[in-house]
Amino acid sequence: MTRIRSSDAMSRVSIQLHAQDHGRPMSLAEFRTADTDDGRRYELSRGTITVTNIPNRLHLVVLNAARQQLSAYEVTHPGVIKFAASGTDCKIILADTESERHPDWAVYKSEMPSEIADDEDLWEVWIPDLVIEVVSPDSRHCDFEDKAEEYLQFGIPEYWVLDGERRRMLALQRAGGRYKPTEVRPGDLYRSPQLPGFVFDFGKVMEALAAAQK
Amino acid sequence: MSRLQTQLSLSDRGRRMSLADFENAETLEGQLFELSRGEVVVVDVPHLPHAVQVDTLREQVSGFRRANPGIIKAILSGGECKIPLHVTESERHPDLAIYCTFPDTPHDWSAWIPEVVIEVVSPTSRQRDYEEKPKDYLQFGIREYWIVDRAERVMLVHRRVGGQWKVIPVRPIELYACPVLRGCTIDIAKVFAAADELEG
Repeated sequence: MTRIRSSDAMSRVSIQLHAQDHGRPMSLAEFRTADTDDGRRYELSRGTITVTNIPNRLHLVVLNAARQQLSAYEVTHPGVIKFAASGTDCKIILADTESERHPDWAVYKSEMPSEIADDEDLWEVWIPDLVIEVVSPDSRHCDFEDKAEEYLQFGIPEYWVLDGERRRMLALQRAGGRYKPTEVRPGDLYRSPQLPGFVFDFGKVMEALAAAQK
Repeated sequence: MSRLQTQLSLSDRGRRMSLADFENAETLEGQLFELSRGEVVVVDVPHLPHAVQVDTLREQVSGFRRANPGIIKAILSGGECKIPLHVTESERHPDLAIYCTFPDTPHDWSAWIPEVVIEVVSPTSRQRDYEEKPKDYLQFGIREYWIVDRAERVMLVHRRVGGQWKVIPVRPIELYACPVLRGCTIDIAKVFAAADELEG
């Protein structure tokens, strides 16, 4: 972590994050103003900095295969999805747990809020309708446990965890104030309540992963 | 398998019950029951000033709905909808619930999440409206919860910000434009005035 003092009259200190900051504690307030410029992805996970190296080849293969199906749906069902964003394009800020998350993929059915109060941040009030995380070996616990809790708290109606290594997908749908899990295996077709008419073929994602592993 | 169905009556006020049993229970016509953290609550038929405030609010939201078709799918009152929470063993019936989507599976109240719910405070509901319901509505995934409090001359808009409620007081001198309902505007002065007029 480097603290850079700017020369303007306010003498503002900006924080530059580096790979070695992984595991370092930090407040959400400091993290939100910190800069990064090295192509890695930084999250704040319950007050601790988490650094993810990009790219991870197989992670991208799984995400890309899922994304292609969502893109096809956007073409056949125009107007349902207003925005779709990768982790570098969006964030999810939770003051309560001192977390800032960057989901692998976020789908928004609502328009981007145009008027934000001075004391609010777009990423605290704009709630995606579906988020997707692709599990990597070091993110397994975080994706299944921590993020499920936080995405529920944030108000997200549906959350998918795609686990290529174990050839399963967990679809979590909000019901009665908690996430109801549905396990999806290759060969199962999954219908998302958030995207009417969309049928997700998890088998196709696993085929793409198998081809990339050859 | 034969299953005993519970019939709830006024004497069940305060009785402990699970959400599963409560959802299966029958109630006598004309009475509204809630389950509040595992305890049966009989919702007293509110007095007329309460009813005209709910009516005025519904009229304002309905006016926006007519002028802006396609945004609001349903405006339901407490007798027409329910909010079941498995986590806290509660079933809530808000004074008004505004939905911008239809559920994927009909009849599944647990997955149909209103964007906005409104409670008009009455003397008997004050503690529930202020203390218990904010937690339940946050947990359920609701985007905004409005507490309309004529005694205090304020509408407290609870807006979901970063996974918590941020409380914004709206006074009768100002209009409230709701971002979740794409600019639906509420004139709370008119809501209070309707009840004030009744009481002379």
